Amino acid sequence: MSKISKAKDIMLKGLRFRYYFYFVLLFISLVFYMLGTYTTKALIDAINKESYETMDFLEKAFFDCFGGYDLLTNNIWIFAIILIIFALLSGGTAAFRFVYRAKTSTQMGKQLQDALFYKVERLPYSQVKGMKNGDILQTCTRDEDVFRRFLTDHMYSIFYSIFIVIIALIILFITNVEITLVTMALMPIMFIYSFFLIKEVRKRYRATDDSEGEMTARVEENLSSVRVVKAFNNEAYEINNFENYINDYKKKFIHWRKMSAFFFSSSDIFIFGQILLTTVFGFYLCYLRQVDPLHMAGISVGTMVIAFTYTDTIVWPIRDLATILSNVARAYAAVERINLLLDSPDEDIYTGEKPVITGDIEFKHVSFSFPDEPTNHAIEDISFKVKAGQTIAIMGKTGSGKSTLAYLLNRLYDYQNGEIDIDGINIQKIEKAWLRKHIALILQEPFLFSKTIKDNLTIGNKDVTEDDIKKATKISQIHDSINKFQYGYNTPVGERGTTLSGGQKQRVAIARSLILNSPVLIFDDSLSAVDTETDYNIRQALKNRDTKSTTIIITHRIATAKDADLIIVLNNGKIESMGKHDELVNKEGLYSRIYKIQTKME
Amino acid sequence: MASAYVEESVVTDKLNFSVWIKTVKYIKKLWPIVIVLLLCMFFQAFYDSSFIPVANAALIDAFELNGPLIGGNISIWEIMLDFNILGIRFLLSFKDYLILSIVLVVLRSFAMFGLFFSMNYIEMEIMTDLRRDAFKRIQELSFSYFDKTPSGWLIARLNNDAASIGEVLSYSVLRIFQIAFSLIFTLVTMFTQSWQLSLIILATTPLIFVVVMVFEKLILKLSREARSAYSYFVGWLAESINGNKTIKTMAIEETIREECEEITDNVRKKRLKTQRASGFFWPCVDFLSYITTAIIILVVPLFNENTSIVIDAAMLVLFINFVSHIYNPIRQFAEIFADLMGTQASVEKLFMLIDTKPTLVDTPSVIKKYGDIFNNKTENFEELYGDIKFDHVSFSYNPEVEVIHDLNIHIEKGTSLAIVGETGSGKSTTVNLLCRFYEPTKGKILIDGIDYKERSVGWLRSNIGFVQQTPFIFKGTIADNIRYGKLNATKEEIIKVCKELDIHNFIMSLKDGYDTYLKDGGNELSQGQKQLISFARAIVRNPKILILDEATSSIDTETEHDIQDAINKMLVGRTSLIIAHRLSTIVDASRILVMKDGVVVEDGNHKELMEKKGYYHKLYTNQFKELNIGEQIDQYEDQIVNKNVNI
Repeated sequence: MSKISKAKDIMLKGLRFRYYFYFVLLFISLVFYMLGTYTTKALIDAINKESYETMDFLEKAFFDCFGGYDLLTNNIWIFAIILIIFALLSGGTAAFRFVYRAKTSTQMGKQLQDALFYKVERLPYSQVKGMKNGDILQTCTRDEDVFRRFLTDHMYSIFYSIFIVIIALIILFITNVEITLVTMALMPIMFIYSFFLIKEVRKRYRATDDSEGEMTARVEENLSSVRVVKAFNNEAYEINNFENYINDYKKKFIHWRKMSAFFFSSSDIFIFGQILLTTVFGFYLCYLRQVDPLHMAGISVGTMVIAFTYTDTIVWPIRDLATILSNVARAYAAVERINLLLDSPDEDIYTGEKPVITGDIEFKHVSFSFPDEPTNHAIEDISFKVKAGQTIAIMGKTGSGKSTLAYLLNRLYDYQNGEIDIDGINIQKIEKAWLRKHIALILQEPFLFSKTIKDNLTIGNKDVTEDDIKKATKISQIHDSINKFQYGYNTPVGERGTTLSGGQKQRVAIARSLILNSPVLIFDDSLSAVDTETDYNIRQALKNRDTKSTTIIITHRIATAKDADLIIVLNNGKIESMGKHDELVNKEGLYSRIYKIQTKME
Repeated sequence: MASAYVEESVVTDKLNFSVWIKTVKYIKKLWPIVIVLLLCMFFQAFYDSSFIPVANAALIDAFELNGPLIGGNISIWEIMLDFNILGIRFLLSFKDYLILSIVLVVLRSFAMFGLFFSMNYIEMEIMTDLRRDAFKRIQELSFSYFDKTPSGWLIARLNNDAASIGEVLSYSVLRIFQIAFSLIFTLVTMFTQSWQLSLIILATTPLIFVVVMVFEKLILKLSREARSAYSYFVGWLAESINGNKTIKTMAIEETIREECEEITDNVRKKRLKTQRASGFFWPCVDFLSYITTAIIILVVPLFNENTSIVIDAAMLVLFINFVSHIYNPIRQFAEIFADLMGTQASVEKLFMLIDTKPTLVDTPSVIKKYGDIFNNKTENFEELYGDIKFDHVSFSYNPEVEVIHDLNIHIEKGTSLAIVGETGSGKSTTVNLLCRFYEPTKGKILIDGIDYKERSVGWLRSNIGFVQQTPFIFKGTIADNIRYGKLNATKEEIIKVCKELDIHNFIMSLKDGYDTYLKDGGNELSQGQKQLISFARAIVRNPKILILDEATSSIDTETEHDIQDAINKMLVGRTSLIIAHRLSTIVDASRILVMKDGVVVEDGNHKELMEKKGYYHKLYTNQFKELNIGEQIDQYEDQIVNKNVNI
């Protein structure tokens, strides 16, 4: 059980007592329920005027408790009252425990969902990059669901079955030992039979499920290749091909359901066989008492009735128990994946210094290689210096390490050699959240949340004024476009809302970062998605902004880079050349070549 | 991405029979198995609702019937039991009862197997029939349908809807009979025992009926809300996982975490509401059945005043059991009702798909001569030479907006024609019209001088080799993927084509050569390699017309040269239409058509058009600026310097 402890601890945090107390409630409510059924026995015995002396102590106690033997046998109507009392007790406790249970289990689900999400949110970037988003989602949803059901619904069912069997057997045992033993005769066999047969059913189910998955994949493939199918006029072939998948699925489905039909119908023999056995044996014991009223094993008609009623009550839960227990492996697999995720390390973003950041940046012989390629330097021996408020441009071919430089600065990755300082402090000493709040990195692929434009803009800082928002959107040249949308700033974006073009998204993302007034601004090729004119306007507006930020622009446009205080040209992770525009233009190299081409093209 | 498609659930409150009537066709043809099912249900209902209660009553009554047994004057086997089944009254010895019971338990098991199995069989047949019909219809539908319909919607119809309709028709609709049988058996058995008591039980049923219906409706509504809260959470979660990088770089973990708590708390609340409602439901129903039982206890003595016994134990037990036999069907009926409600929208949507009429079909006389798309009469196909003429062609996807205006082009046999223009200029539409994915709204397209509508879609497409922007790789071997262009192609033909395109060596370098198995989307290969395979697929059918629809847009630089070489080889001897976003692919074309807003604005070759400094020149330079630095240098060297084009 140690395997499941972590996820279980999270679910039960603060709920431990409530979780376990439910089992107590369950037991109490089942006792009332079974006593309600027991009333029938007392009633029949009272009608048949069985003698008080032949009764066991439970029944005697029952009669004593409700006014005594004589009163009850002469006033059968009292049983109606007793029945209603038990109905109220059993119904009341049942309703109470259901609600109690709902409160606990829904809260348990929430706790695990939250914990899993916090974990995902805090995974180091290098780790998230290596995982499939779909897998993470599966663990946070389906696995969570399977495990929560196991810990709540299935556990409750398991104990429901166990409790009801125990209570039934205790009551029967007090009444008559022989009938108790007979009541249990077929149960162990049925349990084992069900346990193993249902495993086979599951195996066949999985094969069917796989086949259905393949069929679905085929449909998806067909739909995404519609153009190809039609262009090659292979419609008939597609239908025949699909027929193979249908037939395979059909075959496996029938194979599976044949087994499950066999399981239910054959275990019904045990169930109805057991009920019949109890009935017949109960009848025999009744007969014994009729023949000899003092026979030790003889029972009353009431006992016979309660024996087969109880049998009918316990056989079904026992079969369910076998079904649930045979499926425990699934919950284990789910919780293993959950724990694997929970055990991965957190990125520490909340410890470290929180110095005032103005925007002086210095790279000192920085080298870095990605964890999955430790021998290959993505960044090698990079040194440069920027003063607060200056603008630098970084240029280079694809794969030369431009973006990596930005990621190192805001510590999505940590460099292995050298040092990066901000305002003279090594960034590795600075709290990551603090650092990132002060470095606004505008990514190449803009990502907006499915919220309104306004909510997207204020996601980094909820306290900004309307004015601040408008200032930022005007700089990023998106204010007018937003006003043209049907709901202006309250227009929802994303799947259920308006679809923005790539350039519009990028401009919203730029405004979102500008609102933060960060001392450092990084455009990671994020101006490329907008046209040259807008690019120019954005840069002009940035110059006239009140806040002076250190600006790092990663670009492939000379026009964008030209005015920078420092231009760095990267090649294969190394600095090829560095300087101002005028210096670089006159020096043989990548910059001057591209300058010539681009000016010709203007 | 199809899997990311999230469907909004439709709330239904009324049963609409005209919707369900469409499903009758699918059940009707399964009538023999339905009869088996009904017989099994009939037997099971008889055993559970008549035999067991009556037999138990007979056992309880036995000692009254057989008089005092003190001293054992009658052996247990000879004790007579008084059976009153469905109005037939007879005596049975205990021995015979035992034998009969064992036989019936075994028979019941057989009946249950028959019942389960035929239900499952019916479910499966309906499900696969629906899927087959839907799939067939999807193959027939024309392009305009797919423009409007997301593939996620179609997948949801084929998968979820077909499955849930199959399930509801077998488990819910047919179970109505099961419930009806057990109700009938219960009622008949009850009334033949004591009609007065039966009436009393029946008198309480309207109350339970109301309670059940009210609760079921409430629970149905609440659980829908809970489900939609949860699927909102899942959608939100997926988005937040995708936006992980943004969350990190903006350091907004706290904000997002608060959002998460809010959303999971909403899920918790909605689930709690649902579970609370069902938490009260079951105790309520149980309590009502106890009340009914209590009434029976109070009332039974009144009917037995004349007899020596104050109250008949057997009758009492019998009627206590009947209470649950009456209550359970009501509950089950409510469940079925809920199932039907939940599935009605599925039925509507799936049949909307199955009943859709394809808009692009050949005329009956054309079909008669050339066959339909599923059965092409290839023996009647005339040879296609490859002379194409657009004759005053106009086209609009929807009536208000015309996207192609009065297009007149003559493409002579063997020409390689490139079409360029911005997104929305009509270049793709032009090609789609040629492939007859759509038909002109005005004017006609002549192939070898004859309107292409006078010959079948199959005839035209069997002569077209089509390569699209993102190469599509089917799950299967490389040979399978190439063979898709010509289903009866031999291995030799395939190898010959690959050698022609110079990709034979590359294929042979793979682990299993032509039998290399490609999984979903062929991700083992680079984009360029996949495109080369789709070239082979197009060429293996030896088409007279070749269409490259943005075939080089997403090619990595490594394979670019191989692709270019292969394209040049493919063009030889064919009429070809090349659409390219990347202008570098079309500089070599013999003729370039520049389109803007649905009309041709310039026509000529690369050098001429560049010197003209018109629209083409502008397109070219703009596009150039979008390239990254490395590409700019390469392209500049290749096109401007080497080919001496004036800019």
